[in-house]
Amino acid sequence: MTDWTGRGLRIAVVSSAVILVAGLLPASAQQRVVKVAYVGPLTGPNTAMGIGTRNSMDLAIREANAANALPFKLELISESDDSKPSTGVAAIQKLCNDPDVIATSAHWNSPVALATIPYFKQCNLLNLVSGASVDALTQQGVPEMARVSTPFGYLLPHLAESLIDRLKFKTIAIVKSRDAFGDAGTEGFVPEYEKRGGKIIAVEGYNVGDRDYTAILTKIRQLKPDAVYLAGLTTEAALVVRQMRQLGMKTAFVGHAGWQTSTFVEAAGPAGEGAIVVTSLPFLDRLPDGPGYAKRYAAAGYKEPHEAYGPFGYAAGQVIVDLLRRHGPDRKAVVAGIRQLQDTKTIFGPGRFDDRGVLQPKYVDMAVLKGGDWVPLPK
Amino acid sequence: MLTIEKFSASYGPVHALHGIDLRVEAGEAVCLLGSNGAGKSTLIRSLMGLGPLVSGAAHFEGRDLSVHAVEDRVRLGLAVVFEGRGILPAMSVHENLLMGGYCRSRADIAQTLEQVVALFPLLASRRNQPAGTLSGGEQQMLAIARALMSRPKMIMLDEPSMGLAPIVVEQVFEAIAEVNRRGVAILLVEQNMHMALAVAQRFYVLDRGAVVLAGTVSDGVLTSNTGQVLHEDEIESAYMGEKT
Amino acid sequence: MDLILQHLVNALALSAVYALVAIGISLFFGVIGIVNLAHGDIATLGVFASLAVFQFLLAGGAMDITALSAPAAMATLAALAAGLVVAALSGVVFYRVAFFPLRAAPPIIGLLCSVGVGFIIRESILNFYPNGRNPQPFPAIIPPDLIEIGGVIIQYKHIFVIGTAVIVMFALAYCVERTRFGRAMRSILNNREVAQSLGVSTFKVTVALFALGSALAGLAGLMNALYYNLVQSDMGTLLTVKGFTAAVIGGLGNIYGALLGAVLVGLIEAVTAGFIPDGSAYKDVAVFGVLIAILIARPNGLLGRLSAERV
Repeated sequence: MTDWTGRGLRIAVVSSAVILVAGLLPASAQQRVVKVAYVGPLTGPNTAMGIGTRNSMDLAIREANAANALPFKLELISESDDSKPSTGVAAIQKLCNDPDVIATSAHWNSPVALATIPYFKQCNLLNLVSGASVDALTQQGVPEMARVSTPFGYLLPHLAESLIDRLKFKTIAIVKSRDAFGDAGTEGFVPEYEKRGGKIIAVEGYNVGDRDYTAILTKIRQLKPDAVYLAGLTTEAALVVRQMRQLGMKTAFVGHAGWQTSTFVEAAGPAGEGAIVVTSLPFLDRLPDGPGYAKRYAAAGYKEPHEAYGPFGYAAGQVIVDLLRRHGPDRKAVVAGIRQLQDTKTIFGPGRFDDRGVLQPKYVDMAVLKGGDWVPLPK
Repeated sequence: MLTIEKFSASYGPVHALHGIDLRVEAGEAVCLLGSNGAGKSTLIRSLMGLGPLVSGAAHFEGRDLSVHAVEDRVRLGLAVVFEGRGILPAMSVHENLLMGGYCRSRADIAQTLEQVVALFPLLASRRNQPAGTLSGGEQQMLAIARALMSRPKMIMLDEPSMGLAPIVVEQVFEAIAEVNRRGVAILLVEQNMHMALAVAQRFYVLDRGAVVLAGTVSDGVLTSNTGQVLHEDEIESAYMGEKT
Repeated sequence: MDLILQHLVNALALSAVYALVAIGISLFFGVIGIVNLAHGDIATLGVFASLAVFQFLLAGGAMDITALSAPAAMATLAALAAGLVVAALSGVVFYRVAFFPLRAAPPIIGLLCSVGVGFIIRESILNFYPNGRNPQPFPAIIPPDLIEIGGVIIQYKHIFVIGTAVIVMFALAYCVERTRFGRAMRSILNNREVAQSLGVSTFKVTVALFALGSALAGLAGLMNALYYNLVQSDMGTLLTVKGFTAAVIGGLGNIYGALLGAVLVGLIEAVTAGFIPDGSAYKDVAVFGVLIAILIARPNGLLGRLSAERV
């Protein structure tokens, strides 16, 4: 009995020592890997956008690793949110529980990004948004939320102003998706447009996934607006503009960057010609590092195109690298650092974050679909 | 023609039929008597392949029935008139008859149809009416006529008198007798013993899933297989008596 | 007045597509007692098969598919036929592999199984069809021209969709009412055991019915694709929902019910979206409201006569 206790004690002491030593060894022996995560639509209807953005972020991180910009190696991991809030929440919870993940750029769809805010807050993880446009993301006083992409607050006033002053569209019919995205695209636009003397003559909502818009378009046709404003995403925008033209409507078709995609160009076909959008998606040749980025992306061997949001993914990667360089791999320090970042350099040139966590200055312009390409709207 | 040996069927643990031996010769009319729950309907359903688990053997013209799927048994020459008549209520009288000839050629159907309608002239006048709107007696006639459409060698009828007025029952049994006179074997399951014995040449009495009595009928005289001359009351007591 | 007529024309074009889907859902339920929630996805499979043939034949851009030429006509026919055949075959395979082995299981198992098959089809297209993640244009074979009669715009597409549906309906009615197959199918709907005893092979009839119903779904998908000229992997979900609703409103197991239900669904949608401000968002609510009201008044649907114990 006594002997057994003695032996048990010895075993316990020895094994504890082994565990301790084993636990200490790797930390000193191997270089630490710090993870950065991209979460977005890598599956589902907006996959092309998600993959282009993810690849661009990956490019920025690969370049940082190659240049030994940080005293540790960075690894990009990615999760799909499937454009669904529930999937997005699950993905963020998973990342929260991985202590190696220090910063994130998550979600292309605004409803998904809105849904995950509490989870980022809970685990002090930075979400440097590179896609979703709804203003509310960075207006709730959550320090973990910041963005490199351009929120509606910058886009929609410019759209209203351009419609009235440049294009002389005085009456407008709004077709919007019935979700947070469509609501934000409408609420941010209407007061700005009416303030400048424009008149909203109809607001028609649709459910994402609807295919037939002839009923509401027939109604709108009778009202003879100067333009139809679509506050929604690509698939529905393509269907609406096709059906407008089929009904013989020659009314202008306007919107925002939510559907300013190459998929829209292809899906809408000739019906999409002349569509006008307010864009936050810079024409690459106008950016300081735009052409260089395009060249390096092509050289890196990604199978998929970088798509419209690629530059934002690239910028998100650049900013995160900069934060890690300044504050080290620590979630809280990174979150605290983002709003103090007043002199960071991205593909957009030198920039700073304002007290809401929005990267400044913002690029805002009008684009028109011409000959199958989005080009700057002539002055 | 139909030979059933040691035929048993059970619904799970409940034995509905055990060890039935029964036979029907070509052109013969045989009736199977018994009270409610004696297993008569189970036997008919099992012979059509719709019944519960079976052991023992049933051969029709020397062919083992168990290897034939339900829908193939009619092709062997076996037709059935179900309990409750089993007409197709939403289909017209004419369509019901056409379905009776489902396995036969178009020309064959046309010819048979003529003969069948001659036998049941009433059906001609109801040709396009949904079968579900016919009276009970008419439905029974339709069911028999439909069975004939397959040009069967044998028809099994399950309780054709059920729910019919006495005068209608007589018409139905007259039709059955006429079918039999034309050479079609009949296996008749009935509770109405008197009417059944008027049509049949032989009879079996079934009680609790087993044959308890068998014999022949000739000019109204009932003789058991043991040579005993029986009275209808004695047959009745063979299954009614034991019930209590 | 012309506005009402315009909405009526729009509604009928919708109804035509819904009806072709609803018929399959309705008849499948009548014969196997299971609501097939992958029916619209079978249609999607047909559409993508057709799209694949188009993309193959048009690769290189040598052929103008909208031109009135013999090669263009052949290509169109080949592509559309491929769509119908693939839909029919996949319906049959689906029945044989999924529903048939489950025939003795409770209907809820078959229902869940069909949900799973729908997922598989959608995700397969999404992942394995080239560029399947994005909506893709479908060749605009029907000229985009339109006729204007007293303010009512009738597109060639309207005429095509409604005309095709009407012709198919008549052919189908003939098939169901006048042919041996149609009688066999109805006899199963009337009384399965009696039908079997008369020599009807329920397996063969069901297989034939899945081929026919799935081909009709494929046709609905193709009409949808030709009407909107845009296809995507989840386009079938909407078809399933609308077809199912129409079938239930009309009474499951009854093709005329499915037709009536489809016309009602199309009309309710058009009226809600067309005459109520912001009504488009609530058209589904309106349709389901009517569905519930009808089910309360007539639990078996408008023309349904299937007994409640089947459901």
